[in-house]
Amino acid sequence: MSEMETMNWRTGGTWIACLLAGAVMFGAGVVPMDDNDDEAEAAPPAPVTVRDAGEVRDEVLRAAEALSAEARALAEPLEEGEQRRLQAVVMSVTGRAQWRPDAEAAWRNAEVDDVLDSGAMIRTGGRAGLILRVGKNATIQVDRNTRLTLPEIVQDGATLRTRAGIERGRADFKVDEIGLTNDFTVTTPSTTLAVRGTGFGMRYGGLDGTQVVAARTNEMASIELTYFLSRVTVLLSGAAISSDRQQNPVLAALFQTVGPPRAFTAALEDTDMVEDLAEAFERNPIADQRQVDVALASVQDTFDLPIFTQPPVDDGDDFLDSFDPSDPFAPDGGEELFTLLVGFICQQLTPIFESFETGLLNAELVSAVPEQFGQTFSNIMAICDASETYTESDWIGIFDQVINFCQSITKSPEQASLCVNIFGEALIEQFESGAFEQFIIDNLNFQ
Amino acid sequence: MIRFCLGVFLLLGVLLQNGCAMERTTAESSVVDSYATPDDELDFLDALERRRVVTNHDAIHALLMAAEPEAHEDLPTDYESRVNRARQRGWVKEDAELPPNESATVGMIAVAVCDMLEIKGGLTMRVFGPSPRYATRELIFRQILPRRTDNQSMTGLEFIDLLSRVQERMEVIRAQRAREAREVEEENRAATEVAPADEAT
Repeated sequence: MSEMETMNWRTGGTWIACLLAGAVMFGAGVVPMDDNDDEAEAAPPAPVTVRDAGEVRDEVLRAAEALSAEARALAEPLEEGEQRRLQAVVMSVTGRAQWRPDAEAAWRNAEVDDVLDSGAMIRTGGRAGLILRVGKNATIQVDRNTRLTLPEIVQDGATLRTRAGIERGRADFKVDEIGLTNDFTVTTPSTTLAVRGTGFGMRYGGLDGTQVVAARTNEMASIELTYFLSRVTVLLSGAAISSDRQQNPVLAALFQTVGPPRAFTAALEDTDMVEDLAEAFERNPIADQRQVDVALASVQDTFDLPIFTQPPVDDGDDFLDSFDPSDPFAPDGGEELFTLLVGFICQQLTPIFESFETGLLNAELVSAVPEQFGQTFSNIMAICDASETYTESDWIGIFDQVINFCQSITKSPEQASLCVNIFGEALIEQFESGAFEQFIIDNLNFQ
Repeated sequence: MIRFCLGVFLLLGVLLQNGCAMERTTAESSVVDSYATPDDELDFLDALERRRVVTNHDAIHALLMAAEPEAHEDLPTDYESRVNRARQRGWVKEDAELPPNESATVGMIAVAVCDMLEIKGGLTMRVFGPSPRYATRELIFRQILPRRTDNQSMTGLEFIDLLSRVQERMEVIRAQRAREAREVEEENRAATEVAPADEAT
C-alpha cells in the first residue's frame, strides 16, 4: 500500500471512528442539553428514531469509501499529455498582505480562502505573513517584506509541476509526496532550486543573495540539498545556512568566525609569485602542440574509462559518482581542458543531439521524441550561454541535464544508464569525426 | 629631495581643496514623497527595492515605521518632523545636516538599528555612545550586516533585507519580553496562592 493510500485509510479510519461515535450517541438517544429546563418540561422532546445499527454502519462505510475514493482520485495521474490547472488557496493572513492575478492587475488585500491561479503575485509588509496551500502537494509560508510569484501550478500527466519565484524576502516551503511525481522549482534572481519533497526555507536579499535555510517548522531534522551545477550535496539542520556564495554550511560558519582564507588576489601581491605565474602562463608553439596532444590523450583516456560502458550502478543519478572527471585532466591545466570540452559540446550540440535522438529511437528506449528532449537541449544551451569560460561544473551540469532527462523518460536504472551511454556515444561520434581536433586547433588561444 | 617635498605639499594641497568638496550621491526624489503613509507600505517597499541608493528621507521613514509598529497613526508626516523624531531617538546628532534626498550612510542606519535592537555594544560604544562607526562594526560583529564601512550607502534591496533582519530580531525581543512578563506574572500568582496556605499553617 502506498504512503498516500495509507494516509487515506488513516484519515478514513478517523472519520469512521468519529461517525460511529456520533452514531452511538445518536442511537443511545443522547440529545443536546437545553438551558431552559421549564420549556423542556413543558414541551416533551420529539421522539427519537433509533435507526438500525447495521444501517448506520453501512451508511458510514459508504461515506468513508466515498471520501477515500475522492482522496485517491486527487492523487490519480492524468492521461499522458493531459494537463490540468491547479490553484493556490490562502489559508492564513497576518498583517498587510496583498496579491494580484498577474503583473498588470491591481493589488488586492489577501483574505483567507482567496483562490489564486497560475501567474499570481503576492507581497507582504513588515509585520505580515501569509500561508498558501498550493496545488495538491505544497504549502508555502510567505514571510515579511516578501514578493513571491507563482508562475505555474499544473498537473501534467503524473507530474505535479509548480514554479515559485522569490523576488525579494523569504518563503518556507513544504512539499509533500502524494504518489505523483513532484516537479517543484523555486527560483530567485540568482538561483533555481529543484525540490523533490522536503521542508525548507529560501530567502533572497541584497546583502547575501540567495540563502537556503532550515524551515521554521524544522528545528532538528536535516535538509539534504544538492546544488545542480556543482553537484555539491550539503546537509542543513537548525539554524544552518547554505547560500550560493558559500554552499557548505560548516565553512560558512567557520568563515563567519575566523574569516575567509587569504584570497588568491592577495597572494598576487607577492612579486615572486606574480613572476612565477607569468612564466607558467607563457605560451610557445611547442607548449601549444603539447596541449593539443594532452587534450586529445585526456579525452581518449576519459572515454576509455568505463564512463559510458559501465554497467548501471544503484541508480542513474549515481552515474557520475563512479568517476572523477577532473582526474584524467589533472594536473596539467584541467580547467582549460574543461573549457575546451564544454566549448566543443556547446558548438556541436545540434549534431550531438541529432545523433542522440537516433540512438534513443534505435535502442527503442522511446517510440517518439519525448517532449523533455527539447527542454534538455534548451537547458544545456542555457549552460553554454551562461559564461564564456567553462569549468568543471559546466561539464557536470551538462551531464546532470542528460541524466535527469534519461531518468524522466525511462523506467529503470538500467534503461537510464543505457540512455546516458547513448548520449556518450553521440558525443564520441563527434570526437571521432575529427571535429574535436579541429576545434582544439581553432581554440588554442582561448583564455 | 626638494622636488619630492614640493610634490607632496602640492598633492596635499590638491587633496585638501578637492577632498572637502566631495559629496554624497543625491537622488532626484525620495520614494516616500510618493508613498508617505503607513497604508502605502507595500507600494513603498516595491518602489524602494528598485532604487540604487536609499535616501535619508526613505531610510528614516522606513526605520521609524519599523521601530514604532504599534504607533503607525502617530508617525510624523513630513521630513522635518521625521528627522526630529530620529534626533529624539538618538539616531541623528543634533547638529547634523541631512538633506532628504542625499544617500543615507550605513553608519546612520546602523545607529538606528542598534537603538531598535537595544544593542549596547562593546566598551567603546558604551563609553562614547553609539557612533556610526562603532554601531556599524557592532552590526557586522553580530552578523546583521556584511562587511561595510559607515560611510557607504545602501541599495534599496539591501536596505529592505536589513530591515527584514531587524524586524525579525525585534519580534524575538518582543517574544522574550512577553515570556518574561508571563513568568513574573505566574510567580506572583503562585506567591499569592501559597501565601494563605502558609498563614493557615
